[in-house]
Amino acid sequence: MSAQISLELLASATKKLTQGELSETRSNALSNLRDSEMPSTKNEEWQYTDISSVFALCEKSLHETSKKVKSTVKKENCIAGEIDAHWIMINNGTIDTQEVKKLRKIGVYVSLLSKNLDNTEVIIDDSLSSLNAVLMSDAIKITISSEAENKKPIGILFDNDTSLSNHASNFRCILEVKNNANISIIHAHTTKINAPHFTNSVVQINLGKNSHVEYLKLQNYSPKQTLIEKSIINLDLNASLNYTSVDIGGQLTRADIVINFNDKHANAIINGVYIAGQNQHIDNHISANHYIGSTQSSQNFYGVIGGNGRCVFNGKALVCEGAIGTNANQYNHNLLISENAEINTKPELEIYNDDVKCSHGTTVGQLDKNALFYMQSRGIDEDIAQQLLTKTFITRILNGIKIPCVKNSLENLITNKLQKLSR
Amino acid sequence: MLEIKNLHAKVGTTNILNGLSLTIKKGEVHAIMGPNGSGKSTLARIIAGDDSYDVTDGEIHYKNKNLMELSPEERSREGIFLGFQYPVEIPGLNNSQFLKAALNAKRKYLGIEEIDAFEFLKMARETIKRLEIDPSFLNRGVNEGFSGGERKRNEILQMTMLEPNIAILDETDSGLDIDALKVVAKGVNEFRNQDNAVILVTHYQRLLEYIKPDKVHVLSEGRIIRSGDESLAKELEKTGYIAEKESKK
Ligand SMILES: Nc1ncnc2c1ncn2[C@@H]1O[C@H](COP(=O)(O)OP(=O)(O)OP(=O)(O)O)[C@@H](O)[C@H]1O
Ligand SMILES: [Mg+2]
Repeated sequence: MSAQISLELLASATKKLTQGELSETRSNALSNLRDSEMPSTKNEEWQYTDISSVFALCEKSLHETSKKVKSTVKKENCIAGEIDAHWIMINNGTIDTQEVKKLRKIGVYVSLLSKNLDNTEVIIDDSLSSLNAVLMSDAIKITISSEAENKKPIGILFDNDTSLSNHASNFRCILEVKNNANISIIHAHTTKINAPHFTNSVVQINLGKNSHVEYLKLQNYSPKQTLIEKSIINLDLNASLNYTSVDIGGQLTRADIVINFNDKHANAIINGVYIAGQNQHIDNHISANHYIGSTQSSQNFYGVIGGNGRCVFNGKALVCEGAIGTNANQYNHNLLISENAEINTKPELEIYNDDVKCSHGTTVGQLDKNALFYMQSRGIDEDIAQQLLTKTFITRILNGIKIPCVKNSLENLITNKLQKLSR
Repeated sequence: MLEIKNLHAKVGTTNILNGLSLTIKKGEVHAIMGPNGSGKSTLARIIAGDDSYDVTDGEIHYKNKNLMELSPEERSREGIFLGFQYPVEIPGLNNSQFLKAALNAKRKYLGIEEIDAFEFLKMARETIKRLEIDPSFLNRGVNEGFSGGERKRNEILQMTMLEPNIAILDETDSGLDIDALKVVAKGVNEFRNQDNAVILVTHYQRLLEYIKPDKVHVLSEGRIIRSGDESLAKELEKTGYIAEKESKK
């Protein structure tokens, strides 16, 4: 049983939530929680990331009434106002019906699973995803049809500011990409609240045959917020994914990205940039599961860490027996720009056959003193030189994002962040 | 313009400069020669502000300021330029972005309006043409994948754009083919005037055929052991440094 959160409180809280077709899922999740424990640092996968503090926030949220809060966030004054995308704003388990109508016209269908489960599996495979299913206000399903138009990316913005409680929120999104579809997705975690808050998020993505997805996850939370997010991605025959995660905000961030290669010729690029400063902790755990051969995964994570920031990278590839011709790489490069910055990095390979191509490597370095002096000797201020060098370090990953309309916003966010870091 | 008095410097416990004095006036070109490891680059880098050397004694005055109190970037904006013996590669940082940042840093310091993209490009293209440099230089990463000779030309490009008051060129002639040497020499000759000064660190008399120095110094074991005019360089070419050292003893 989850020692950290009272089951009685959970049971009574879940009753207040929209049940509809989700009632069975919720009760299964609740009984899962009875037999499982929340992750702690005793668990190898969580040894560097202590999330015990967030359970108090979660309990606190359970005492609050489930009153509906009106949205205070306007599209115009958040990231959604800057990036020209079809934004799906999710407030407290509801979605903007106007936008839903518009999306239908371009072949993108958005629904709430409490109203129509439609054979969708809501994954509850561990304690956190179970907690999520018990407490989520609803689950959002976005279906990208084969004919969906890809002129503008689809933006998903979960609006914490109006979530069920002031202390914790649970977000669940299921993205169903049909065969042959081709789409760009921006998934943004941003908020204006600057109070301690815990977001427990689960994203399920299924890529159909021959489909292609450009995916950007952007986390720019305020300094007291925690995000724990699990993304479970399934790739069918010949599906291809170009995924980039950009983590720059928050106090504590833990991302688990699980990619399942379920058929041949599926390939995924899983790139990431994380920039952590004073009092920030960012942990990325990636597992590429090659169940079938002739599949490719490539993980490239670049981190810049300053202040007393701490980061964790764990990039795993599992190559199953018979998964011949698998190609799997894991690379992690870090730049520590302060004495107290810390990184724990580990690429892992688990291979059960011979005919595979795997490579991995990690580097941890400091800014090149010679390059800094060279730039200074040309009149460039030391902190500007430092920013230019760190920017250069992560440019490769930023250039890999093939969603042109995010370029400027992203550039600004990162420049600002690097400015803060070098001060 | 630049006055160095009794300079002592070390790295860790190794003494590199042992009481070096040198005075350079406006309009002059000085050549500094001397064996490998004698401290030529150390001197150049200390003038530019490299803090990995401990200056244990002595003074450097520049335009009547105590140079040691200025950061490397301030020295640059005040008109000191070091052409590096080994120009640093900064992959991914665009050369023109770098040049523009350098130019604007100086302009800001001097209270001049920043250069706009158009004006900058015009200026850069003209300079590049004059120095017979491949225009693709501007769009490449700073010295990224540049050959030795290309890096040296890139230093001259930076010097020309930044218009310093004193340029210290540390073996800018090494590794250049004859044509490149002529181009570099042309760049330096066009640069020099009555109000600025040049220090050429070189091993070869060859460069001095193209750029006539006012003074030639021999640096050995961290101090200047001989100074003279052009003819000293010619003499060294014949006798070498060893003979020079021995005759001193
Ligand atoms: N950062 C450093 N750390 C340790 N030793 C150094 C450092 N910089 C210079 N030295 C040493 O100081 C001495 C002088 O070096 P410097 O580079 O100034 O010589 P140089 O006269 O420029 O030689 P060259 O003609 O080969 O370029 C050498 O023995 C060198 O090894
Ligand atoms: Mg040298």
